[in-house]
Amino acid sequence: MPQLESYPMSHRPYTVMLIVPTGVGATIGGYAGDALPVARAIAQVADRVITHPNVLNGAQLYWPMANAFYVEGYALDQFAAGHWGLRPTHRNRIGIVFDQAIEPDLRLRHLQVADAARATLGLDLAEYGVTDAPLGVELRTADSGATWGTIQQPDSLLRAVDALISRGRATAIAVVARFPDDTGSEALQHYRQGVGVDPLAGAEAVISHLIVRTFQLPCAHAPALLPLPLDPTLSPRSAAEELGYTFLPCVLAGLSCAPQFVTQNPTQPTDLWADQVDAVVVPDTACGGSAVLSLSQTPTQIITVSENQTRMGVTPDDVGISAVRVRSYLEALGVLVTHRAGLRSDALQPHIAPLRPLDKQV
Amino acid sequence: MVKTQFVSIEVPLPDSTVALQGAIAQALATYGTPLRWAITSIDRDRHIANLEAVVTVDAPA
Repeated sequence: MPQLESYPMSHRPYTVMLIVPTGVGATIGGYAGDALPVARAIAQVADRVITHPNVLNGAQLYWPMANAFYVEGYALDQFAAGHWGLRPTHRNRIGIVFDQAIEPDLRLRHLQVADAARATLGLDLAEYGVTDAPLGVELRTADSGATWGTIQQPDSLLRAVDALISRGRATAIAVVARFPDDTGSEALQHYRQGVGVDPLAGAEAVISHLIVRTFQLPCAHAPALLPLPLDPTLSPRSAAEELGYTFLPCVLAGLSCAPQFVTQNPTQPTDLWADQVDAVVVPDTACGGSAVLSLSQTPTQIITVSENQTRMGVTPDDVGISAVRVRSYLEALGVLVTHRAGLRSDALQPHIAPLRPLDKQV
Repeated sequence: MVKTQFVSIEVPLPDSTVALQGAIAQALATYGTPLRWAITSIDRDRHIANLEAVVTVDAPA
């Protein structure tokens, strides 16, 4: 955990939430874990960083951070609304659910990755489960450009998760669903070029949200796909997903110490609640989500970044949110440092307006 | 049997974000139980928030 000097000494851990909504074409973080450098940078100036899997997941790539909280998006919304707390844990026992639609060879690849995570990383994995029906994942794009999706057999997924929890004693769930191999699609080609919207992300969110809402435990999803043909023009932002046969390593690493959710009393002193979040960093046009709207009603400092463009069109002004609006994440880091230090950001700028009298009409 | 369903709706913009979240929850409840939602744009002229969501509904088996 970073040890930063501050005066006067504050014993309140400085806590930052980093949000890059999934499946909205964020120019930073909309691809293969490419907001991870942002999270790593924030983790250097904050005591705690709360963020979600698609920020931290880079398929074969990930970066363990002792002060990062890996929280699935549905739980993040519940946490921001003050409904759920986060309970730090040293170790989760991860149960993996495989979609029955995954071909035997592809499932074996994933099982070997899971065994590698046990042997090489020492992770605690429960027995795995297979759904009793093909999940039937279908991908969709909304009018806004955001992606979403459906699964035809959600009950089959929930039955498999329930068995892993009740009989396998799993405390976190990794889901591997067979996603359509749409290798010729324009959306996929754009994604591989580092433009456009991740065609899979929205459906992945639907799957993990359903599990978290139903079982209130950590969950993340890794799609199962056949390897793509080589593309010499591949964007670095998308490259992490072409390193191997599965996207599972980052999910297992993230879930291994993801916080559990506190949904009822009794609470513990180390539990984390929304009123302990000092700042939230979000793309400037993505202020229409549940977590940001919830935190806007608290003292949490909202910082928006315009350089991270999305397909959404909701700025802080659009929804009446008070925010510090900056161009880049580099500037956002500066705002976080000054906020943590108890400084007004404009104290570092050349012109400071004189103090005004209190408006008599107020 | 649970089904997932996509919803695209308009919600009148109230005066506060508290009221806005309440209006969204109320509007989505008529379609199902929300899994995920976001305001995607604001129509200032019509004072409307455009919303996209995925909800779950209980359907006959």
